[in-house]
Amino acid sequence: MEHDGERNTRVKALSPIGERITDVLAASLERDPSTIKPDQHLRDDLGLDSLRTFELLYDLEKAFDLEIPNDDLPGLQTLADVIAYVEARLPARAQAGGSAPARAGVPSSAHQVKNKRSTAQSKKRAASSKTTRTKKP
Amino acid sequence: MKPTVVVTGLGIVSPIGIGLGTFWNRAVEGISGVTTLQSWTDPPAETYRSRVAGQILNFNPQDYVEVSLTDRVDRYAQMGLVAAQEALTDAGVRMKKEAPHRVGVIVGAGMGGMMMGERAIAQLYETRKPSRVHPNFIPAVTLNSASGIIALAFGMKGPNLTISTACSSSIHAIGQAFHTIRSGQADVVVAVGADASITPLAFAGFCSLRALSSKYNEAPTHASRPFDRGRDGFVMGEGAGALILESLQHAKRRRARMYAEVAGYASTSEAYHMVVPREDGTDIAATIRLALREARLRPAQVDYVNAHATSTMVGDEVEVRGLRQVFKRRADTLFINATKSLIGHTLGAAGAIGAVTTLMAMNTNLIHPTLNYEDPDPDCRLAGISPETQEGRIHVALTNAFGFGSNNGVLVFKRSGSR
Repeated sequence: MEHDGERNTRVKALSPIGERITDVLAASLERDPSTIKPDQHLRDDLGLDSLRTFELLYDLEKAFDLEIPNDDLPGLQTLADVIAYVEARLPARAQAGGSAPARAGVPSSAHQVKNKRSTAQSKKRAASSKTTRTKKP
Repeated sequence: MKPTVVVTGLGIVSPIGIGLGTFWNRAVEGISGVTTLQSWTDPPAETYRSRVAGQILNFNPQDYVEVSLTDRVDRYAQMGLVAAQEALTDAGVRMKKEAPHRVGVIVGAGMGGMMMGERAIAQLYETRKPSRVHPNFIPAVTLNSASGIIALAFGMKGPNLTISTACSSSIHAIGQAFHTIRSGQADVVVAVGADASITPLAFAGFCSLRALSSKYNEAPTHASRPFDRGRDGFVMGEGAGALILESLQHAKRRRARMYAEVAGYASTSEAYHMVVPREDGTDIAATIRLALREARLRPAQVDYVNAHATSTMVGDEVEVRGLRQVFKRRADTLFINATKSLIGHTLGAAGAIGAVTTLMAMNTNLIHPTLNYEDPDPDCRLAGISPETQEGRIHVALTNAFGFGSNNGVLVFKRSGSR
């Protein structure tokens, strides 16, 4: 993978859960995870409007088998906020090596993450070809 | 000269009453129709983020219309049919005396036959037997099932349409009914809004959109609180509203009572976002201006606005911003109320129920309270919003409705005979 170098740097900085959340967000944004930094603001930097934010929360609820109440939303401004929030909400064992969350339907192996990224890329291709098509009269 | 169009009959099926009299008495008394979610038992209500709704409990359509007509249509169409029946009786329209092709039906429905649809899907996957899907499934869930059943119930052979623009659906049903008569295609049009999607899947979908109130699950009557600082989303409602629109000439010939004249209508798209209104309110303001232009009225002539006001954080604020742009200083002298504070948001029925409410206000000089308006949000504060019933003579009124899909609709009503 061309981004392996960058990715390794990022892995050092983020916990396994942080990495997984970044991947979920990257897939939703159809971006390479290495281009997303924890201090980025979901709305102002990453361009998530309310609907896209709710989609992200949905993805996270599903991935980590969580229920995120509306009352908690104001605290979730940056990616780092989201990571800290999810880590605090998960039982300690789930955070250990990234293997336990598999029980909760979290993609845990590296190849699953890779697959996700390639799905995102193919989606992007599909989206751009659609744009080209619709531009025709 | 295009014909003048008037409203001569009203009908309503709502969480605070089936029938105009009950509905209006309870509305002006400020009685809430929001209760604990109890429309189904599985999945349990406790598993839903929001657990309050404006439900019509114990709705028996056969108490109002022929059984044979109701047992094969979805709940939303039953409600539409009951409201249409009441409006026709109220107007005194007798189909025996009408030319069938001059009477049309236009229905607005945002969700349509959700109850039957959801049951059939669940059953298909439980039984895994396609042959168990009922032959009536398709005619019941096709989105025009309500406009179809109303036409055949009463023998109305004129234009028959269904408009689906989410929560603004029935504003457009009335608006298009108005234009249908103005263009000479019909003398009478039954305009209806109906939705009944307090159903396990649709309700879950609105929960996932985080559009529904979840803070007041233990205090249902407090959950729908438009313009109040403590609001946290809308409360899902169900019901139907019906209006009989006819040309002034036709109404005069029958010596019909007239609630008001339909003076103007505008339909626009914000072309902005599927679920979020344009924050600065300019598109709402533009829609109101277009409707007033068609009515040949100035903002300074408007007395009352039945607001869309669903009790969502952004929606209420943006609507007030739009109203301020159009009405400037007059914005604080208008009567404004939010019918959704009483019954929740009836989605596709909201425009028609809002219009029924507007016409009742014009004819009783009473503006029903906006419930739970206890701590006015400074960002959507207007002097004419009140938690109490207000009294005032209304010459010109607006009914607003906005829908997902970036859709806006505004109707203008004018007291009959006032110029």
